Amino acid sequence: MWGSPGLLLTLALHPALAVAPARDYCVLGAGPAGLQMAYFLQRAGRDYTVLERAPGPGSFFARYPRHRKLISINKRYTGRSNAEFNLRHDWNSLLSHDPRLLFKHYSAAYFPDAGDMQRYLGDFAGRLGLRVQYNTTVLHVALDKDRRAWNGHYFVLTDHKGQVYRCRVLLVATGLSVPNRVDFPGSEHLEGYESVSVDPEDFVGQNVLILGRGNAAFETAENILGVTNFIHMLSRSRVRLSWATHYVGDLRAINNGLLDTYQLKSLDGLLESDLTDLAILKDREGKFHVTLKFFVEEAGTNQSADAVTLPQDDSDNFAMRVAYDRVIRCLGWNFDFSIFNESLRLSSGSEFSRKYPLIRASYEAKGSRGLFVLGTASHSVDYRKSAGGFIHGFRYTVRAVHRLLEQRHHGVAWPATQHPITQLTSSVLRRVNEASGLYQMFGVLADVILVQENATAFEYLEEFPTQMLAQLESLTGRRARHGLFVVHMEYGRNFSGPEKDVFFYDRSVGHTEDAWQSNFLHPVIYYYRHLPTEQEVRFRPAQWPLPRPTAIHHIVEDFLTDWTAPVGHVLPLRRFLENCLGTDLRSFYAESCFLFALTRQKLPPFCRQGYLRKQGLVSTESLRRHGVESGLMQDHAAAGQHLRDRGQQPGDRGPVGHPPAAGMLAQSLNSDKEEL
Amino acid sequence: MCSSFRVFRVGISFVTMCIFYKSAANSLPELSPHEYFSTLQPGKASLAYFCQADSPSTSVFLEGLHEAVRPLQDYGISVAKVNCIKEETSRYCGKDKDLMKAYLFRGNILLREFPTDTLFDENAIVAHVLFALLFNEVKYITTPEDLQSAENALKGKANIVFSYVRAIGTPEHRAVMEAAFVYGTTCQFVLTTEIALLESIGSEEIEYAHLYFFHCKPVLDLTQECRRILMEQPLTTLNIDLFIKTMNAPLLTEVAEDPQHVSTVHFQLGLPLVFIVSQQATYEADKRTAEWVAWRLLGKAGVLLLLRDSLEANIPQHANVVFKRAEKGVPVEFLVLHDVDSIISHVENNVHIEEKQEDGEDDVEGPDIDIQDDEVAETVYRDRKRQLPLELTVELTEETFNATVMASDSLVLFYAGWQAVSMAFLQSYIDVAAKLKGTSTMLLTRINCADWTDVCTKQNVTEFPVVKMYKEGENPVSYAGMLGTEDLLKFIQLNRISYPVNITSIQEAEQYLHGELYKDLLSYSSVSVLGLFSPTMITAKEDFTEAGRALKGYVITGVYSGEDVLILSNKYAVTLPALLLARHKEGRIESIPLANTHAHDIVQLITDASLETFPEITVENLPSYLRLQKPLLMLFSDGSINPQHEKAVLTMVEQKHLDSLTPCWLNLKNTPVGRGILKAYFDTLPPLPLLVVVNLHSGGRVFAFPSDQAITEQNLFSWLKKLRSRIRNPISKCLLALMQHSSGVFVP
Repeated sequence: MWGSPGLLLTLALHPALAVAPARDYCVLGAGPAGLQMAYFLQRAGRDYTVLERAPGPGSFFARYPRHRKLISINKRYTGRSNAEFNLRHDWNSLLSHDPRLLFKHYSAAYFPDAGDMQRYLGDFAGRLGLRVQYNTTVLHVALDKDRRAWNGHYFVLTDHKGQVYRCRVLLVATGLSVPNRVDFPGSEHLEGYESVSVDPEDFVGQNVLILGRGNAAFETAENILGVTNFIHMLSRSRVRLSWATHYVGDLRAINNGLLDTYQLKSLDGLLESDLTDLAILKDREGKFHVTLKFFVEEAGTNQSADAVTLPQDDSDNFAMRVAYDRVIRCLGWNFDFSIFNESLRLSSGSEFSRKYPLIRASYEAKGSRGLFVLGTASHSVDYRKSAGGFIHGFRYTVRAVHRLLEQRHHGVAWPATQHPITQLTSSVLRRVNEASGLYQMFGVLADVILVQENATAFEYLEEFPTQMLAQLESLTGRRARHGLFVVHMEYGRNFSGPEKDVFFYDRSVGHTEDAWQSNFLHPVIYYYRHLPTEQEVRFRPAQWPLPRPTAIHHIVEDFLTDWTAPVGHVLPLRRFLENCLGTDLRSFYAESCFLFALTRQKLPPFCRQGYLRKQGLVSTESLRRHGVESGLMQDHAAAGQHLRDRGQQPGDRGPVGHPPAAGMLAQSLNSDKEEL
Repeated sequence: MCSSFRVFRVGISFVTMCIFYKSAANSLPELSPHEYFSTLQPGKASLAYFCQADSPSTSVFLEGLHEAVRPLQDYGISVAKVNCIKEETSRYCGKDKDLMKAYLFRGNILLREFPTDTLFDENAIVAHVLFALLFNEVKYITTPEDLQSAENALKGKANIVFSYVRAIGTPEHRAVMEAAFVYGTTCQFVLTTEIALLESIGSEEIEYAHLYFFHCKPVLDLTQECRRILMEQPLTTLNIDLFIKTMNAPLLTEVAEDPQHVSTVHFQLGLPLVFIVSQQATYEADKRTAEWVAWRLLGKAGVLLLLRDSLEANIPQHANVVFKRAEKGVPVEFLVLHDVDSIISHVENNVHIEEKQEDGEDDVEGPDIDIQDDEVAETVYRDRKRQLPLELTVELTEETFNATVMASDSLVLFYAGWQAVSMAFLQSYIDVAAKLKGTSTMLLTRINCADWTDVCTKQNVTEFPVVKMYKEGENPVSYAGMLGTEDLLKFIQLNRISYPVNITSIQEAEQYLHGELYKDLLSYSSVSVLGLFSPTMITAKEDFTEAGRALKGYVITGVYSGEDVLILSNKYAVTLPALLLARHKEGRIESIPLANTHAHDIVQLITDASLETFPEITVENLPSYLRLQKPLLMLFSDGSINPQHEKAVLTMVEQKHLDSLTPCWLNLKNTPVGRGILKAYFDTLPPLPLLVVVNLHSGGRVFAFPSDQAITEQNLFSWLKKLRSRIRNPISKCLLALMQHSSGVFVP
C-alpha cells in the first residue's frame, strides 16, 4: 500500500529515506484498549489507524481465559437509571456514546463467557466504523529522528509483509502476550496454562501440581478439582485474596474453591516456596518429583530421578514427597518487548513490575516521547492498587491519554466546565455520587477543581492522573493560580492487604467526625493553596496518593455509596469547602438575600450570584413555615403583629423605647457568619 | 464496586447502627502493682485505683475515673488502674472485694486514700485530688473566727479568695480547686462548707455557692476590714479565672488618649470601660470620684481617669463620662452624668452578663458541626415527607425526552433529587403547573438529572436547577428570572406570543400602545415597547428584533416599520428610529430615540426604562433598582403609602432634587421582611412611617429622617442637603455633628 516490499531493507536501514506518508496516530493492537483509543481518536476527527495481527478484534479472548469464564462482572441491574453510575458496576463495556454498545446487551451472565467479549469487541469496532487494519503483524518498531516531527522523531513500523508505517505518535495496546516462564532444571516437563487440556476427563485420578497462585492457576484447579486425587499449588508468596486486598487482579472468590477444600481438610493444598530454587525430576514411570536445584547441581551429569537427592531423603515428612502425574505452569504473562528497537529505549519496570514496560503516570514511555502504552500493558502505574490493568479501569486511562494528546498536539485544552462558586458543593456531590472513572480508578484518576480569582467561580476537570498533578498546567492548558481541590476516592489507609482481616468488628464508621477513619471506598477531597511541585509529588509521605495538602476532607463511608445525606455528607463537605475558601456557600431564599442586600455590604455568593442577578430562589409557604420552626428564618409578619399589638397600648413605645432620631447612634450590624 | 465487596458489606448494617463516639485520648492504663510502683517518679502525683483482677471491668466509679484521666493529666497527675494479682501481693490491695480504694501518691509517698464512694464522678475525683495536693494553698475553715484570724494574718500581705461550696466534690468545688491550682501562689484560698460562716459575712442567698475576693493586701491598719467583693456569676472555672484577673488588675488607670483606642485588661476580659473625664483644675476631686466609682464597679467594669487637657481627640464640651461598651467595634458613648450612682446604674443597665460557656476540648472543634445552618437545605429536609402533586408535571426519561420536547412546546425543569435548591424550586414549579392546569398549551415537564445524567449533559445542563423552554423551530431558551411561582408564570404567559410582535398598521400600533391588543398579558409586563423604523432602516430594525427576542418572556415588545410610520413619529414627537414605551399602569407613553444602538444596549435601555420613578420595593424588584448603584431614599410604611408623603417625594423627583438617589418605598404589609431590616438598623422597630437614606455602595451607612419632623418637601430638601455634605466628608470628623441630625448606621 505504501511502498514496495523490495524497499524494506533500505527503509529499515535508512529510515531517513522513507517515502511512506506519516500518520498522526498509530495504535498497535485491536484489543479493548486499542479500540477504546481508536474510538476517541475517531470522535475527535484525528488521523489514525489501528494495526492488528489477527483477522478480528480481541483475539486474546478467542483463547483466553482457557476455561472461558470472564471474572469481570456484568451487572445488568443496579436499581438506578443513571448511566454513569451504572458503569461503576459494568466491568466489560467500553466507553462510547452509543447505549447499544453496553456489554449487558451481549451477555446475561454475571460472569460472562469470553466469546461474548470477542463478539462485543467486533460490534464495537464495526458499528462505530473504527479504522482497523487486520491481519497486519508489526514485526519491528524503530525511531526515525526528524526535528520537524511532533516529538522530534517518527515511529517507523514494519509489518510482516514489509510494509512500512510512519507514525507521529505510537499508542501501544498489545497487552501482555508472552507467557511467563521460570527456568529451572526440569522446567521442560511443565505444561503451560496456554496449552494445558481443559477437559477434566484428562485428569481423572491424577496427582496434580500447579505452579502459580493467580486467577489462572486457581481457575485451572477449579476445573479439575472434582476428578483429581489431589491438587497441590506452589508459589513464592502467600495467596492474595482480592476481597482482602481490594485489588481485582488478586485471587477472586469465584475461583477460590480450592482454598475452601484445603482448609476443610481435603487432600488439596497450598505451599510456598521460591520457584527458582526448584527442580523437577521425571522418574521411569513418567511421574514427577519435586526436589531442589541445589541437589540437581550436586548430582552432576546423572540427573535421573534415582540419582538425585530428594528433600524427603533428609527430611522424611517433606510436604511434596509424593510423585505427581502432571505439573502445570500458570505464572501469568509478560509484555512483548521483542518488536521494539533499542532506540526506543522501552525497558521493563523494576522488580516489582518487571512484566510491564516502564512508563510515566501520564502513560508515556520513559524512554521515548510520543510513545504511549495503553491497556493491560500500562498497569505498572497502578499494579496491585487500582484497576488500570483491566477494561473497567483502562477505558478511563485511555481517555485521559487522549485528552493529554488533544492538548499537546491540537491545542484543545482538557475539557472543563465553568461554574459560579455557589455550585461548588453540588459539583463535587454530583461527581462523587455518579462518576465511574473516579470509582474504578480510585487513587489514580482524580477530578480537579481549579478555583478562580477571589473564589467566585471555578473550573471542573474530570479524571486527571493524580501523579501528574505538578504538570497540570502544561498537560491540560488550564491555569491553577488560585488554589485547587482534588477529588478522588480511597480505601482506608490500613484496610487493604493480603494478611488483613477485612471483616473485623467496628470496621465501618458512621459519624462524620470519624470520617477520616473510613475503611471502605469513600471520597476524599484535598485542598492545595498552590499547585504542588514535582518534588512534592515525588517525595510525598509513604502510602499517600498525593502530597500533603493544605486541608483534607473525608466524606464518611456510606453503605449504599450514596453520599447525599444532608447532615451526614453534604453539611461537613460544605463546611470544609467554606473553610478552605473563606467564603459562605450556604443557599438562601430571596427574602433573606433581600434583608442582607439592605443591611450588609458583603453578601454571600448565593445572593450575589443569584438574587442580585434577579435569579433569587423564592420560598413557598410550606418551606417558610419549616424555616421559622427551625429557627433559621425569622417570621417577620408575626413579629410585626406582635409589635403592633404592643404599640396600641398608650405610652408604650416598644420594649427599649429608643426613638431612632433622638441623637443617638444605632449599633453597627454584626453578623456571625458574614465571612467564614 | 465488585461483587464480593457488595456481598460482604451486607453484614455491616447492624454494626453501623451501634457505633458510638469514643474519645481517643482517655486511656486508663491497667498495671500490676509491681508495674505501677516502678513507674512512679519523684515529685509527681499519681492516683491509683487498686482492684481485684477479677472484679467487673465497668462500674460507675471506673467510668468517672476514665473521664478524669484527661483533666488530671492537665495538672500533671497520672492515673492508673492497678490490678491486684495473686502473684504480687501489695498492702494496697484490700482483702475484701468491696473495700477497694483509690490512693494518691506523690512520688512513692502516700498522700491520701479515698474510699471509692467519695469519688462519685469526674468532678469529685478532680476536686478531691486537687484538694489533697493543694493542702497549703487552700485553707479549709469552719468558724467565723477561723476566717477572722486568716484575714488578720494576711492584711498587708496577700489577698484572699474565700468561697463557700455546699459540699466537697461538687462541680463548684472543682472549679474553685482548679482556680486555686493557678492562683494559689498569689492569693490565699479559703474554703468552707459551713452555711453559718457564709451568713456571718452577710450573704442572703445561701442556697448557692459563693465566692468573695477579700482585698487584704492594701490594708495596712489591722483594725481596718478587708474590702469584700462578691463574684456575681456562677462558679465555673472560667468565671473565677476572669473574676480573679479583674480583681488583681489596677483599680484606676490614668490615660490621655482617644477612648476609642484604649484597651485595658478589663476590656480584654469582655468588660466595658468607664472613663471619668478630668481636667487639671479638678484633678484631685475627679480622682477621688473615680476611685470611688472604681470600687463600686469592681468586677463589672474598668474605670479610667481621662485627662482632657492633654488629649488630642475631640470630646464634646459637656460630656464628663465616656462609656465604652465591651463589644468590639461599637463607637464610644459620651455622657453627661451628675452623680456616681447614675454612672453605676448606666453601667449596670448596659451590661448584660453573657453566660460564658465552659468549653472543653470537644466544644472547640465546633459544637455545631452537625447542626444545619443552611436554610434551604434545612427547610427542604423538614419538608421531605410531604407528598407533592408531582403528577401535574410530566416526568421525562432518556427514552421520552426527545420525543416529548419535539412533539409540543415544553418547559423542562432540570433538577437533582439530592440538591436542596432544586427541590425547593420544584415546589414552585409544581405550583405553576397547578395554576396553569388545563389553560396552557405549554407542557410542563421535569427531568431528574440524578437519574438521567447523560440527558442533562447533552442538553448542556451541568448545574441545577435550570429551566429551559423548547419550542418548535426555535433554539431552547433558558429561563433567567426568579426561581419562584410568580415570575415563572409570567415568563410562560408572556411566551404565548412571539417577540417582537409584528404590528401591521397604525391602527394596530395604537391599540398595542393603549393596551388593547394583548389585554390579558398586560398584568405580566409593566410596559409595552414599540420599535418604530422606516422601511429602509434594516440594521436598526434587526438590532431591535434581537433585543426583543432577548427580552422575550420578560417584556412585551413590538415592531412597526410601515410606510406610514412617520404618522406615529410625528404624533409622539420623536425622530426615527425610536422606541415608544407605554406605561399602562400610569397611562403614559414615552418616546426614546434610538440612534446606532446595538441590541445589547437596547436591552439595557428597555430594562432601565421599565423601572418606575417611585416604586414600591419588593423582594422581587430590589435587584433591578440596586443595579442603579445609587443610595436608596426609602420610605418604610406599615400599609399603603400616605398620599401626602408620596406627593412630596414625587414633587422632589420632578424638580430633579433626587437624581442622585433612588427614591422608593416599602410596604411592610406586602414585604414583612422590611421589619427585619428596620430592626437591623435601629435594634428595635421605630415608629412608622419612617424615611431613611441607605447608602450601600459607599461606606454602607443609613440615615434616618428625624421622626419629629413632618415628611414635607421642604423638610426633606433641607435634610438631604445637610446629609449630602456629610456623605462627602470623611466619617470620623462629622460623626458627632451628624448625631444631632440623624441616626447614622454603619452597615458592615
